[in-house]
Amino acid sequence: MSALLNRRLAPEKVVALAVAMAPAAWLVGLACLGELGVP
Amino acid sequence: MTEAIRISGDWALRLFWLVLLVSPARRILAAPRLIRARRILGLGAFGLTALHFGLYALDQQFDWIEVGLEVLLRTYLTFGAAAMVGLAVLAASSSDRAVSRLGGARWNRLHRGVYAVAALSFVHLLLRSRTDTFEPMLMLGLLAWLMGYRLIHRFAGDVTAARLMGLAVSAAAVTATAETCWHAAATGVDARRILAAHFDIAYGLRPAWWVLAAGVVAAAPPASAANLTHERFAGGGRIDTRPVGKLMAKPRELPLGVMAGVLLCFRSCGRKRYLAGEMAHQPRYPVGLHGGQ
Repeated sequence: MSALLNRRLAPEKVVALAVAMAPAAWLVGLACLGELGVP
Repeated sequence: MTEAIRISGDWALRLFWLVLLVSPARRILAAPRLIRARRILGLGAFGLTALHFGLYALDQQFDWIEVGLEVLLRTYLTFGAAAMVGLAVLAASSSDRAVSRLGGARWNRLHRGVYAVAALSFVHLLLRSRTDTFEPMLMLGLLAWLMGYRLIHRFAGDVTAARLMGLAVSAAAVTATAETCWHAAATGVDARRILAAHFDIAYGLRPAWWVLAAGVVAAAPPASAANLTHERFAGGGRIDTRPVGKLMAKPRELPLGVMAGVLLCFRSCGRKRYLAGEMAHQPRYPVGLHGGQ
């Protein structure tokens, strides 16, 4: 458990994760605002 | 709903192209650490592709027979589905476990299929976009550049600034030709007029110019970064002085961290030295070192 807590993600991985998640997050945001017509 | 399907598909493709650009970028910028981003971006692209398909299925009220028929009968959906299956195979085989199970050589061979997946998804986007071909042609140009880069790296060895400039011009020419042919075939307009429109700013900068600009930018760093020489022990008592940009370990070759440990071991005149520390984060290389045991 402590190994997991002490484990630091490489900055490249953090940036990649943010880039990979951004479009999905944006889509969810648009859907929540009701701009996509998704129920 | 149509908008959600379009946005998810477009971003899946953009992320996928970003994944393709990671390999040349790490060499050109002499930043091997960028490779760490590739798997996450690839899985992100696959996630968005799955969302894209899921939204499409939702739009068809999960009528799988209808979905299947559409995929079979509509060409652009056939290409899209084939690309998605290919991407799923690549995503499923991207874990460390899959890499060690397949072995470096087989894994590399399988993942070279990424270019086939790119070609399929390009056709899917082009057929869907019809006359609005800016983005598909931009992607085609970047794909042509990437394929050219691979060929130069494989057959010519040194990726010099001059070769990259030549590649930029060639990729731009491929883009302009493809766009001209596509519009000429679709509209029947004289191809020379379409080609001439590439030089008219009133139509905005066409994809070929953006491909040329990106290629020229990519040609700038090697002189300062990737061509710096760096010595390392390359096995068989030989010193490898390849440029820094080419120091990534090849399959069956040891990465630099492990190599340094082996060198230190020689320097300590055969005294016992623990290499486990250096090898801890290199799961598949020690397997090769011990003859696959």
